[in-house]
Amino acid sequence: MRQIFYSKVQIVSILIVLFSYSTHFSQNHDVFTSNQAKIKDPIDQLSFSGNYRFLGFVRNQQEFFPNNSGKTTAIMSGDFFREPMFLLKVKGKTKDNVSFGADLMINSLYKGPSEEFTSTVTLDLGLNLRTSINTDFGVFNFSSGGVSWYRQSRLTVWGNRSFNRISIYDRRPQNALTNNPNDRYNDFYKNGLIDQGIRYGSRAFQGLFLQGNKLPHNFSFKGVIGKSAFNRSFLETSDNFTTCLQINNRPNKNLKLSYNFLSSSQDLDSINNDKRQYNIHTFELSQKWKKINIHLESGFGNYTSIDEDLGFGEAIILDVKTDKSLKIPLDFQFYRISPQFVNVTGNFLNTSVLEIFPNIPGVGTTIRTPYKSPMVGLGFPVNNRQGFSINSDIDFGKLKLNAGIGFFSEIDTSYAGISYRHNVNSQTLSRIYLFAQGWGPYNFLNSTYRGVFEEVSVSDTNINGLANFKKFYNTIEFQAKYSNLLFGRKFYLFHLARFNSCQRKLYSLPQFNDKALISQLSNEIDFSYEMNENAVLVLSYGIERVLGNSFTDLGDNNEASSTNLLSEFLGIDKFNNVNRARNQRNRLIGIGFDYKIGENAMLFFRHNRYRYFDPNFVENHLQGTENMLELKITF
Amino acid sequence: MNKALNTILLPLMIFSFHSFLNAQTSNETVWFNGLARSYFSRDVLGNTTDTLYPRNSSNGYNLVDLNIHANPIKTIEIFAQLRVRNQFGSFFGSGTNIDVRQLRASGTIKNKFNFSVGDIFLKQNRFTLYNYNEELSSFENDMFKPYRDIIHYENFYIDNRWRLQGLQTDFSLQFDRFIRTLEFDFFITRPRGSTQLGSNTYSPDLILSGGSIVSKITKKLSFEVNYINLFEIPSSGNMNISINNPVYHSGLNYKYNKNNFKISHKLQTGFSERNWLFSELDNGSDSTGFTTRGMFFEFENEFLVKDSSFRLVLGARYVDPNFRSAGSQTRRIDFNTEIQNTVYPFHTNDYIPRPSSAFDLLSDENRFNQDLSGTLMSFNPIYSNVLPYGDATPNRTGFYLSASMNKNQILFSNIKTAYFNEVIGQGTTEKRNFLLLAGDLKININEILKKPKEFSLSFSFWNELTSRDGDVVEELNLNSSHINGFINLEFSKNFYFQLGLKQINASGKEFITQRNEYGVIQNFSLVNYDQSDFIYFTGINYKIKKNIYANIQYNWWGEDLNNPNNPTFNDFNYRRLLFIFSVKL
Repeated sequence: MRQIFYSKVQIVSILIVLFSYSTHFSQNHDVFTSNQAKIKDPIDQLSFSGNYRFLGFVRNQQEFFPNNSGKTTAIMSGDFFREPMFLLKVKGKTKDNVSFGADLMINSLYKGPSEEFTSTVTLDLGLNLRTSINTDFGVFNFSSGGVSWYRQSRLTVWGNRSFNRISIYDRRPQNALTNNPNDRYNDFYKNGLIDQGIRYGSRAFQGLFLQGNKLPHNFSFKGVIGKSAFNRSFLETSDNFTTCLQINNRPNKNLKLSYNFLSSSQDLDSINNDKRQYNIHTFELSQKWKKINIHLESGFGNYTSIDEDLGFGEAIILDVKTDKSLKIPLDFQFYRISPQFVNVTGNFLNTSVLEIFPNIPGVGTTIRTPYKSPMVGLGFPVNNRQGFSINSDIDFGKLKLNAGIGFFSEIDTSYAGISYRHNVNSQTLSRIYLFAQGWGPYNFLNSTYRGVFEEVSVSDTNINGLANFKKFYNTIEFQAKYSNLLFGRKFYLFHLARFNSCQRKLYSLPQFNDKALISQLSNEIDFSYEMNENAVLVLSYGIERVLGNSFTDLGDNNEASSTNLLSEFLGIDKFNNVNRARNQRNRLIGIGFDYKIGENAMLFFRHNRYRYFDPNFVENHLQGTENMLELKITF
Repeated sequence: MNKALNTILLPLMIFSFHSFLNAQTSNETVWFNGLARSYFSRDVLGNTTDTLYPRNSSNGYNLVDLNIHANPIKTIEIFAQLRVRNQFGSFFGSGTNIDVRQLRASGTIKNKFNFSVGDIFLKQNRFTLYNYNEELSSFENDMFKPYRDIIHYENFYIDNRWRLQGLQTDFSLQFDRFIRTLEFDFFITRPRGSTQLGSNTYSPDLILSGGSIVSKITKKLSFEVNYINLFEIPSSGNMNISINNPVYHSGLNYKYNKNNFKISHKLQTGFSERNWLFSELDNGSDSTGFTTRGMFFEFENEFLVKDSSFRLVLGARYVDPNFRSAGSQTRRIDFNTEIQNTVYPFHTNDYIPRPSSAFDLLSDENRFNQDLSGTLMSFNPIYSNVLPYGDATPNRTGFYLSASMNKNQILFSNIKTAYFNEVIGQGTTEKRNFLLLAGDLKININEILKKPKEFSLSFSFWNELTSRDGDVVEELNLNSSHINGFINLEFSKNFYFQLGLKQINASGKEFITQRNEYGVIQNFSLVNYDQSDFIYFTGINYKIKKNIYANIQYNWWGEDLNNPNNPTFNDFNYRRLLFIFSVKL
């Protein structure tokens, strides 16, 4: 003990002596440290942007499907879909012109402080790295990662993009904030376009992206090697890739020529023996000739897999538009896409090969589009189909009208089924059972992202189980927009009518009777009124009627129901036909307001009263209310 | 824990951006840097007779490590590294990880004491705390830089330091009499915290502490003493077995200039003790066991031409067979057979584990180790047998020489030789002899041709010879040679065409030492080697800067095991397409 004490005394004494002789502490010369040296080397530029979006959601179901668990009221933060509550986009750029981006998604369930309700931070889309290389031959942009939104041509890579004939009563999370609430309706009235974000019209891709601009002889190109959202395998490491390339040449300012290539390949087994793949080659021509714009894309593709080898098939999309400055501008579209021309990333629906959609639990349903002879609106091409449409718009002062009519037919017989997407209550229904296939009391419903489509069986089949006939489609779309002043404030009135039918032969107009296998008629009326500079009152009414004939599914109600609601209401028996197939009456009544609470901050409220009803299918009855309060703040 | 850290750090990051925006014009209270990487690999089976495995498999990811440096005052920094990683092929948030990779506070108190708390990277000297480079990485001339960068970054191998978590402080005193400086450095870290092993069993905390005192006595003469101890705190667990491994070191360094040379002579020596404490035995007492004590000694001389065109190092070293220093003898690669390779871990249609090859040691980040080990880790003698634990390899005595030369930026050359003997024989009185002969040569052809674009050829050779005399059982010999060849041609501005090969040939026999959990030799197993590992590659490198590049390369790799007597040894070969885009932010 004494020895320890003395040794401590000695150490202390030595330290005192040392410190007494030292002149000062020093950090300014090269001293020994076991730690690493600090170097300050900050990144050149870093910026943040994004938004906060709270959506308070309450749904109260008064009528529900029989398999309902008994829970009829849902109180949620968010509306079930995966959307960021707090989206933080990080963008950085180094001194060497390399940029990176990430979009952090930070959510909270607001279900109490318990740790089980704590959400982890994740990415909304993904990470990107980009750089640009300037050479004597041109400018090359290179990026890797993803998700990146990529678009090439309508037959290869192109997102859904139609004529913007939609109801804008429903809001989507991606909808940008306008300067003031009324601008949203004003923009739609004037231009027909609402800012849907960068993803609109493009496809999500991951991989390596290369783009070359300002190349010799007016050439340019872009391409990607990677994966689209459809490239999902049951083994993560299996090959499942899509490769795209576009080479452009612009001989003069009015003419653009392009070659497009797409190849998608997927391993089907664990040892990579079996493959499924398709290849597409197309040529594009864009010519501006006086007041006429011509765009033509034509090519061929082939599809092979272990199960079937479809061989080669052709596709053509022709679009002739007159200039907007004409009194009655016209848009003529023609397309023919053969069943062998298979693609899931183009601007058309694949209906000939079901297996091409990934069948991974939790994945496939999110991206599986209607594939059984879908009855679609104008501007949505489908393979195994040909036809044309004419669209036009005309202004009568403050009344703006646009309309289109289309005629389409299948090239070959196909599935003994028809599918159609609901125009009214589509978002509401999809929220009831997210991303589910074949749900509902009759297993008709299929949920996709913010939409629902229904599948109809056709009973007239051949020995192969396919429909015994080719299907023909008629479509009419009509939209009217009107704006004026009411009590000194602006109001906007939008009416949208969509009328589709599918039948055994082509008619001059869509059919709403038993000649059609399926008829779909919807009317949506939106009204918005500028209460003051910061507030807009919105009203919406939508009704959708779907009729089937006796060659489609029959209901379980022994008593047939009327197909003409007006004559039934008026008690006129002469026009009052009845059926036992689909006779759906979907209805939406909505009221809401948009309110600007500050710069880049708005509040949106929606109260919906919905009804999904079919008297012939007694269990197909949903009714209730939805209330949504959305607070969106961008920075 | 990570969740809690995320909760704390993300708001810090999110809400600090305002500070950052202001910081551009003020004193930069928050600033950022980091690293971003895109990685994609596609492996292809070479052996067509292997029919049970995928013919190819792909893997990829993108990541950003965002380093947040918050300086609330000029002398204090809070540092956090957040990793955002997104698996290739995962869409809309799936396959995404956001983790806290590092967290540290550091600074200087009153311009006197430096301190760091949290994730720290420490190094003392080559016999106490030092993270030696992995085998096969010498003399590569950046041939496999994309691979090495990832391995080192992912495993926190920075400047031969060990990544530790704890507290470190240093300060120094300047004197105007007797001595010039006195520098102090202390740290205490926890390489491994107490963890639950069974339903009621907890491992103890493992602590690494140390300190250094360095004094520059004169301009030429300096003196240092170092101490380090790896120990477990018995009461923090209930295993009742705890290691204790103190190492003491002292060194004297004399530097001076003579003619055109900078010359230094360094003498260093020290000793270690390692034991295990067995506490709360049946008789209620504690006892220590498996105690080993050992010392080392090194005398090194360095001659450096002032313009750095030539450097020669000559030295002699003795390391006792029982010298144990966890901080300097822990290896980056553990050849424990239980560790599976990531790429094609099994081969042949008998589904047998595939042995590690040179390519796995180059590319498989999961094979690398970050934890200090109290016992000697296994190694493979064909990749490193002369000094498998670096300069602190126990049971070695001998001489070494290394030299490097730079001739007008045209020719670069390095030579490394060493001759060591074992101090005592293992399992016999006969001792092993080790001979190392290594050298490399890089020729910048563009300098000869006076061309601005880089064109270089490099070649290196590394040969290790191990022998032991004695009877048929005792006798052994192992000849292992590593060859690297590399062509680097800049065909357009910043674009390089690259072609390279790495080949390891080994033949002869050697005994693999098997030790128990206390590091005591239990057995020797004889292995006859006649194998050849190969990696060939070609690719294009777009180099914006040293740490910013995009690299695409194709690799052919495998192992030829020319052993007809042992049918369980099977050759294998594979191919890989690799893409890496790495950016230091």
